[in-house]
Amino acid sequence: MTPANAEWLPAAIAGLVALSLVVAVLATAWPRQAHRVGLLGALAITAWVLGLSALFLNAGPDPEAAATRVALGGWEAPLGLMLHLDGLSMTLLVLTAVVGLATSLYSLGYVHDRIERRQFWPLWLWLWAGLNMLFLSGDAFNLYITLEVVSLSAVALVAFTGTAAAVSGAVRYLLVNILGSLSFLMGVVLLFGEHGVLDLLLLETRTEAGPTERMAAVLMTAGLMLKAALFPLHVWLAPAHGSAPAPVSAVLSGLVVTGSFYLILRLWMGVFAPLATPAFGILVGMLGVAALVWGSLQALRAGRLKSIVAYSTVAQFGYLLVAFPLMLVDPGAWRVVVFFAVVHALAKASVFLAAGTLQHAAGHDRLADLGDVLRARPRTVFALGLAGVSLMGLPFTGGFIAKYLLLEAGLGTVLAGSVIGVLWVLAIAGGGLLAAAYILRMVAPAFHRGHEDAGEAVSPWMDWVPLGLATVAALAGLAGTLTLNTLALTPGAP
Amino acid sequence: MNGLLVLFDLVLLAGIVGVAWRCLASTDLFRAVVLFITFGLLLALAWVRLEAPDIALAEAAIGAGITGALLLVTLERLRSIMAERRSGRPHTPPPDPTGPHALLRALHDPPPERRTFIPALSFALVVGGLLVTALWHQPHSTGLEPVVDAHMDISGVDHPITAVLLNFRAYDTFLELAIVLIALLGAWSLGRHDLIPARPAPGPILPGTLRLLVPVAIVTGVYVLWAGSHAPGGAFQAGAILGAAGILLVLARPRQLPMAPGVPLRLGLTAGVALFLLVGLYGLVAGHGFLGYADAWAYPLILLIEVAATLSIALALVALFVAGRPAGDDA
Amino acid sequence: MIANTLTVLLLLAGLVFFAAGTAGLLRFPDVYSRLHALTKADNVGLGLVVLGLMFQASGPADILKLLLIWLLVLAAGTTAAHMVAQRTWTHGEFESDR
Repeated sequence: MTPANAEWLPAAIAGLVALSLVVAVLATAWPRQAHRVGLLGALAITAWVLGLSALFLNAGPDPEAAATRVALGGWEAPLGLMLHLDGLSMTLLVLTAVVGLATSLYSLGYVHDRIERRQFWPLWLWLWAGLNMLFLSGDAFNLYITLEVVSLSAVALVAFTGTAAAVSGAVRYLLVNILGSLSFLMGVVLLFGEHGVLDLLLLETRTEAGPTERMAAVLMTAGLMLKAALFPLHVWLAPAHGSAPAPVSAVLSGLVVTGSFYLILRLWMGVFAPLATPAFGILVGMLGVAALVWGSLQALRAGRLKSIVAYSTVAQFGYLLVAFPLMLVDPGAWRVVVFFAVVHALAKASVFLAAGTLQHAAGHDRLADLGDVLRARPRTVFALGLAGVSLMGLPFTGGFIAKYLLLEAGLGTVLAGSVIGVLWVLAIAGGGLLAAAYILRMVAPAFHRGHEDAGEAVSPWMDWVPLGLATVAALAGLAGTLTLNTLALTPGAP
Repeated sequence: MNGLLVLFDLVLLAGIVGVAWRCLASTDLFRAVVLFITFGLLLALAWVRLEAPDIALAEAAIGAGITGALLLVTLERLRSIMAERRSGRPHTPPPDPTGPHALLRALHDPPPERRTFIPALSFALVVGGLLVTALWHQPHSTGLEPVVDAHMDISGVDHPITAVLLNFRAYDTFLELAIVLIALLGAWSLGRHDLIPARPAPGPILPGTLRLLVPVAIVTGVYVLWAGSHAPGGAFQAGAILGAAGILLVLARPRQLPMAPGVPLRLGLTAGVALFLLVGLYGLVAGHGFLGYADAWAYPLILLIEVAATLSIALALVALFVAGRPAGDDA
Repeated sequence: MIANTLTVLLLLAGLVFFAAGTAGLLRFPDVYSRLHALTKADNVGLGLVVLGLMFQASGPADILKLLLIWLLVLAAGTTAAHMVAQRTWTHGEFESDR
């Protein structure tokens, strides 16, 4: 650890927040150039995040010293707000940067109308800034506000096309978000009333398994589950995705939902850690199995391309729930869960982008009539298939490594003598089969003999970006060790 | 005396619950909106009783006042759309088919059915009961009051709430300003607003009153902003008062409103966040931390930020009332 | 002592007017008579309450603020009543959505 690195790290963290905000404010104040501001900003933010991760990895070989906290305005907690960077937030920041950059490039082609561009870019840049701030926040109330920034800009983006279906999907999403946020806020209020501090690390040292913590845990987890579309609180997901623009669906399924899940994980690893009992773990795991089955069945029944992908998010998030009981037996398994969420976000974003290209070319996304376009656009179909393979978890993709590690953890619980562990193993293996079924449904028409029709011309961005992101998702397996090592730099976590 | 206060609190509490109940149970939207405004005023009174005058002020101005106006104007547009649908033909061609009208159409779902009533009520009772139980066990905590009091002398202002909002936790306040802006961006992304035709008021009374009230509102707004440094008040409350003055002017317009110019309006709307961010960046570069001030500069900088924020909030609230973006914004 | 007695008496008198105004609002048959009851009673009632509170004020600034509140409510109340009456005159009685 060189002293220069440690010195620069806090400034680099505050600088990332400042940079994301400057880009968002600039695009809002200067809508005429919003897309140029957005493109330059996307490149700058990505470069900054990569530089930050290099600094971070160089600075902290000692897991206990790896969390870097930055006091905003020079006020230390409990008086002020602290930004908080550890391995977990660093991983998600890099994920956000990769998906964010891909989405920005894709949007250059997708949002081409001059007036739409002026509306789209500021909202998207606010969403990105909100996500960066969410992952860096170390304060319970500040988390609530960053969640609001993320949700509100996401709702506006879902309604973006302005059609009646989009608006009613967005209104539903808005109501769900408000309910989730209020529930989360109530939990924050309870914790603050009991312990008198808002800083997460300070809270962590003071919480025990009392009635306040129990109630706060229920409220905050339920609110976040609603926002993360975790089964059975997923009903808003498909309508919101159905009519949202493709880049928005990609960000929503890839990042926003993952952000809420990140928060659940962060809270249960820190503040609520004393409350986690095996019975609770089994309950959550059961919900996960139900989500896997229900989401997959809906995806198999859905008639529209984007609905299939949306329901597959419900199913894939079932894995994250199944992982909870595994974490209780093998605490180190949480890193595998995060790795899975990262691979899922990459793959899911590229599937949505590819679906957007197909929808744009065909003018609709009814699966039954997509055959001609699918056959004529091998590049997009390849992206769809490559990301799909990663979602299924076929060997040598990021998804394979993640599922393999999950399965290993599951088998570990069986060997440890847990009977219910068999159910987790079956769910993990069976879920992969179901995923294979609905993903093949999407790409199968491309292999039928028939008429070819490329449909409407699409910009090169829309042609190549999904493929690039799908490649990243597939290759993420190679970065598995790096990701797991980065995650290990999270102090306080097992 | 104490017994009387307890009695007052109980009556207030019963009133709040009763009004909220009537508001939710009402199948008549206009009645529900009026009850919602009443609810906001009672809630403001409750904040006064909880000795939180800052929140009471904000609740009365924003929760009851501006939100009430927003709900009423939404209802008015909803009615005209419903009348249109009933008559079977659009009486005016909508200038922008994807505009705010689509939102209103989507919003007007049928009233909730009877069969959702029992589950909803029992769910509310269970959650409420659990909350009460959890609160019952809570110790009497002073929260962060002692820490804030200990740092008041270097905060630059004399009012602890303002010190927390604009100095100790300035980041949160910055994001709250951003949220107002994002809400407006979302509303604007849905479409342009129509030309706002004149609505000459019958008789001289309304224009006369406005000529009297608007200057008073502006003076009050500036006073509330100024008072924020040492007493309850601040940018959000002042912005709401100035925004209310603007809404009154939009409502009672003797002639067609001119379209707002795009560039100055955008600059005005972003002034609050932009200035806040600039000050924050300066703090980062100068070594006080992001969003930090040098002690000696705290007061003037806080005042500067508050003035810009008040302007942006007032503009954003009026723009939300008008709904869609002005045509000038697309130029 | 005298100030306190006066305050209590004036507040009570004000409350009587408020009660009368509310009763009128609830019981009178049409918009005009309801408005009549409401505005007249509320203005005088609030005036009495404000006058009563003036005896508790700590200085001339408070007295002026109280006076200002009364005047502003008078102006706003009158205008609102006028507009409701005007609307009823041109559009007829209010129709519910139900």
